Amino acid sequence: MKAVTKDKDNQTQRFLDLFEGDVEAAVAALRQLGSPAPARKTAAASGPVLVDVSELSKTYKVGRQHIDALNGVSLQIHEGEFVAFTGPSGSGKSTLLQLIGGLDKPSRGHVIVDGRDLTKLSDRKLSVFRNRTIGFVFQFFYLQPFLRLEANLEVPGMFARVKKHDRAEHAGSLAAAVGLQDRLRHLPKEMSGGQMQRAAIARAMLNRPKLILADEPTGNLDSTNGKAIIDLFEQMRKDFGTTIVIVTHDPKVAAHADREIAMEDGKVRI
Amino acid sequence: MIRLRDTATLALTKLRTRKVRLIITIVISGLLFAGLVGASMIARGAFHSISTFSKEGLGERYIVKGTGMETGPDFFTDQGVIDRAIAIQKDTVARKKAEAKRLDIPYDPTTESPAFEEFNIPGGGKQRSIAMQTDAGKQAIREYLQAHAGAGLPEFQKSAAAFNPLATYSSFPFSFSNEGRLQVLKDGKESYDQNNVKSGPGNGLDSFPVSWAVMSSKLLEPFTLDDQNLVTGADGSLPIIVPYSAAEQLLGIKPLSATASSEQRLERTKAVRSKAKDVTFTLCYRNSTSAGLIDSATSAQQEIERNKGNKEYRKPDLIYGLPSQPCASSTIARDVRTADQKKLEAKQEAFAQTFGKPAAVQATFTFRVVGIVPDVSNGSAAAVNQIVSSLVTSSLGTGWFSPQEEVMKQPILAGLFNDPMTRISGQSPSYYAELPSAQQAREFIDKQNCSPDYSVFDKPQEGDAMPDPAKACNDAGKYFTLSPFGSNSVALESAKNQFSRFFMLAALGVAVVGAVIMMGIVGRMIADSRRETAVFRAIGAKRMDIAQIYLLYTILLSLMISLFAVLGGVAAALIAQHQFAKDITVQALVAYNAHDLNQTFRLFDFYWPDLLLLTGVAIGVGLISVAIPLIRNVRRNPIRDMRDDT
Repeated sequence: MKAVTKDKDNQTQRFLDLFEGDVEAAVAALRQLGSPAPARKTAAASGPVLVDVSELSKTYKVGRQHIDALNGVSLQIHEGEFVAFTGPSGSGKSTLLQLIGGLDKPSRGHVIVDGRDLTKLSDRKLSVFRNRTIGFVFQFFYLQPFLRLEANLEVPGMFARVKKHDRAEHAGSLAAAVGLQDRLRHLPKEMSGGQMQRAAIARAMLNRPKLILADEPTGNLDSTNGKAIIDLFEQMRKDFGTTIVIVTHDPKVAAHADREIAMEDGKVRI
Repeated sequence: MIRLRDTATLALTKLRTRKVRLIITIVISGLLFAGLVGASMIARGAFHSISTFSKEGLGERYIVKGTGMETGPDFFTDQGVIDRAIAIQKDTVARKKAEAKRLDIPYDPTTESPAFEEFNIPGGGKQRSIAMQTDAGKQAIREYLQAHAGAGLPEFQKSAAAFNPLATYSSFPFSFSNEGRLQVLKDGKESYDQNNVKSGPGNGLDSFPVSWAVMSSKLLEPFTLDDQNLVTGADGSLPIIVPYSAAEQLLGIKPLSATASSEQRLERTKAVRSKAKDVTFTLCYRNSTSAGLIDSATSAQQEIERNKGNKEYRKPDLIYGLPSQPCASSTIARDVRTADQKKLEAKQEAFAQTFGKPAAVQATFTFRVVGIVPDVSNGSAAAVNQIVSSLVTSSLGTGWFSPQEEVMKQPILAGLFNDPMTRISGQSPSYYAELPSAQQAREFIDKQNCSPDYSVFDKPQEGDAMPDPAKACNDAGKYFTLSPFGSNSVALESAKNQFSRFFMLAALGVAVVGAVIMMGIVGRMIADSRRETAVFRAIGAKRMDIAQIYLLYTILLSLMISLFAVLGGVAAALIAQHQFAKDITVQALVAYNAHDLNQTFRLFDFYWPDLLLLTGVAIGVGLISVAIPLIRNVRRNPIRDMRDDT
């Protein structure tokens, strides 16, 4: 056992020597090695790092059992990148998305988004962070059933204390951007599933977030509407430079991403 | 913190969920609070009306009435009184013997009833009690009562002195101490049939002998009708305030049926009040001897009637006849006595008068109606009516009231009121102190009231002594039972305070029940909204933002309940107003001697402090009921709520 440990220490030392003792450069290289090969190399991948996840673990306690939902995941996502997390159910992709979105705290490791270490933010600051930096899109849309579309789109602006006039104007332009300008006075129950998801994307965009996190955004839609949603994400990225991270089971959806990060058993599959 | 307008937008969406449950909650909680609102409006309306009406009566005068609560030995069984009665009787018998001898008439001392009676008492032994029907017994008691005058006006004035009374007054209820008779002549006629002369409690002319009182003019003045005064008229008529039913009788108006409408009652009241002024009636007084002659005449008439056709029946030699004029002395209808018989009976009459039998006296007094008071309430099925009526009728009281100063100028009537034997029938005089403020009136009552301790009857007594419930307070120098009188100003304030206390307690009770009901709907609504809360948290809501939405939701719900409660309370008060106000108006117009007969008694008044208190309680209840589920909700992990829901 001692011999094995000694051998590992020697390997680490030799690896560090390659970087002339620059530990940060060595760690970055290791992360790069740990990440899967991007499906499609794009210019966006070379932009500044927006999301920096290192040694991220999340353990849930279910009764007396401890379940490792994430186990030492490290990855980086660059600004303007379109990344798809794929993998079977229980692989940890949604958990990773939620940790990146600051909806939950990791058991170990760090999540740095837009330069902020989310593990060190208070609940209040995390709320502000989610409100300003992140836009969430859910599989089941989660629109407020008793609010008209225009008010639904404005909800993130309400929490950001944006003036009514400003946010209404922006909500109107976003509705137009997602093709719902004629539905502003409608309630969610008067809209189709595809329209509701487009509305959810418009709502996520209201505070001009840098990062859209979408959990199975097409999971509840037919292929035509699913395709439309992916096109919409593409358009948002193009128009606003928004970084898109989606969780999906659908290979066709994943194929639209710049990079597909496959997960398995709480780890990034290499 | 999000903007209030946005909070309202989001909170209002909560009010659109679970509508049936929400409506049930609003209705049930609202009805609970509505009961209180209704009670507040009715009570405050009644208080306000009583205050307004009171200004017509004794106004804002603060008068406290005191009735003697005397202690002392039970003179019926007091050995000293019995011994004195025995001595009086012994002396009387000796004098009677001598007088009989002088007059040369027969006298049998054994016909004298003993001055005391003896009866067995439980557990063995005998108890003596004075024989009230004997002259000796009466004389012994009279002497005792004169020697033990009890607490009177000087004592009352002394007990009130510390509270700066502006004036003190007195009243004396009428009570017969002998076998005399008082009768209001109906249509100017005297009734000789005692079976027809009711003297029990009740209303109308027959109630006169049991509910007549003389009272200081200063207390009666506010209750006189327009243009009336309390001075004996030039025609010698004595002023009197009469019960409403008696006024009707004197005017020859039939009482309205029990089913008469309020409008009819009001019209009748106006008519009676306008016509009753200057109506006069005659009171007939007969002393025991005069009444005895009348009884003898009626008995003889009845006897002759019974023996009509009986050939063996022999009419008495001397028969008294009924007078031809009302309240005149009886006449001799038949006198076939021999000269010796007449001589003997004349001597016997002189003998009886020597030993206390008064000469026959009958007299009439003319009374002039100068005011009307309500009749004794005979109860009402409606609780609201009864409660308010009890406040309304407590103004001057019920009965017949004459100014003391004028009545006492009439020697015969003054003699009736001054007889100390009236105390035996429990008819004690009452005293009144007029105080500068309600506060001093209340303090006087609080500090000087003798509240009898009736629990002494449940405690074992030493020897044969009778328990005395007034002993404790008498020992403490308190001799009067004190109560607010006249204007209701003290009673009204007391009623207001009591109502406020009741209102607070009821509000507390409703708050507890309301909290339980609201906790149900609010807790359920928050639990149902977990996913939405999680979504709001995901898109940037802070915990305080979520709390703000639910708190405003709860306040809106509470305001809806309050609004429902106010509407329900207004409806209840309006129903009460519609049902009872007219009847009470009629009663109040009489009770307070209202000069403006067009004013109305209202059972409806907005009293903002009560409504604000209730709204505050409703909001407080809501906030209490939302607190626990809300704290739990905002502490939850949004991820878990989103995951649980999908």
